[in-house]
Amino acid sequence: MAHDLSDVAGFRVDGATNVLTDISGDVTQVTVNGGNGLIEDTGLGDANRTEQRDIGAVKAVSITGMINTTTRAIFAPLAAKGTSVTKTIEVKIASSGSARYITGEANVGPVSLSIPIGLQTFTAEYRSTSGAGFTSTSVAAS
Amino acid sequence: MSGYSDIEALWLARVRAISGYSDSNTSRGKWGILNSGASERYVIVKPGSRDRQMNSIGGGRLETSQTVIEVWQKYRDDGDTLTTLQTAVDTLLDALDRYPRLGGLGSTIRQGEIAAVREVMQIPADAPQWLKVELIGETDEETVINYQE
Repeated sequence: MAHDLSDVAGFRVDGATNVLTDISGDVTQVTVNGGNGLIEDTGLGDANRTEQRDIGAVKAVSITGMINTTTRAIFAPLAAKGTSVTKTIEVKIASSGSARYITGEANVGPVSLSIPIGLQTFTAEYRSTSGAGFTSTSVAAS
Repeated sequence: MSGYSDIEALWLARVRAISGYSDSNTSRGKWGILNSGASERYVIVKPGSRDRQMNSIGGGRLETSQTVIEVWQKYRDDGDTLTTLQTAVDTLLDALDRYPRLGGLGSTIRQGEIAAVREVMQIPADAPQWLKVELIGETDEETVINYQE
């Protein structure tokens, strides 16, 4: 079976006025960092190092994209001084199936704008406000 | 604004906006004007190569199109013809560089610039009737594909 390409993917996020905005055409990469955090619990006398699951989940989504009027309005204010307002995010992974979206409410993490000679770009990181992390679902965010 | 034909039209429009160029001594791929006797210099634009690649998730595509801008100078003598052509090329570059989006009104053109200037050619080589320089215009256009599957 052929593997999936980015043409079926998408990304939506709350804009400056907290309206969910589709910026898929401006985004060049989405990285979902999930799974469990692990902590080492090797004790004296253990012959090998051991680990156990940390409390809660790793729960960050980072994106990289290109600046235009839409993304500048979203990310320039965040880069300037951040926000205390949480944002809804939606990562679309596939066009069908029970696990085609990762959604949730997130705090805004580090945001950067890069202005080299040529194309202006941004990066942003969102971290789930839920201790359980984001939701893998067939339902789009609203 | 969309597609190569519109981009080539923008390049030609920018050339025609420069003093000394009009529809009588410029064209899109009509080399017959070289025989018109209308001018000592002609500019003819034609398509170059095109590169296409995806540039965002969800169907964004970047298409980089080359437009070859031929500058033809009637060869008169071994004295001033070459320097006249060089001066004309510099004038074209200076004018075209001032419109990095080609003056297009749409929002899809990210950048349009003269990326290269080729060497002067004598045509024919052994007994030149013309000198020709090619300016390589390079235009980046962004579109979003509406997938149907």
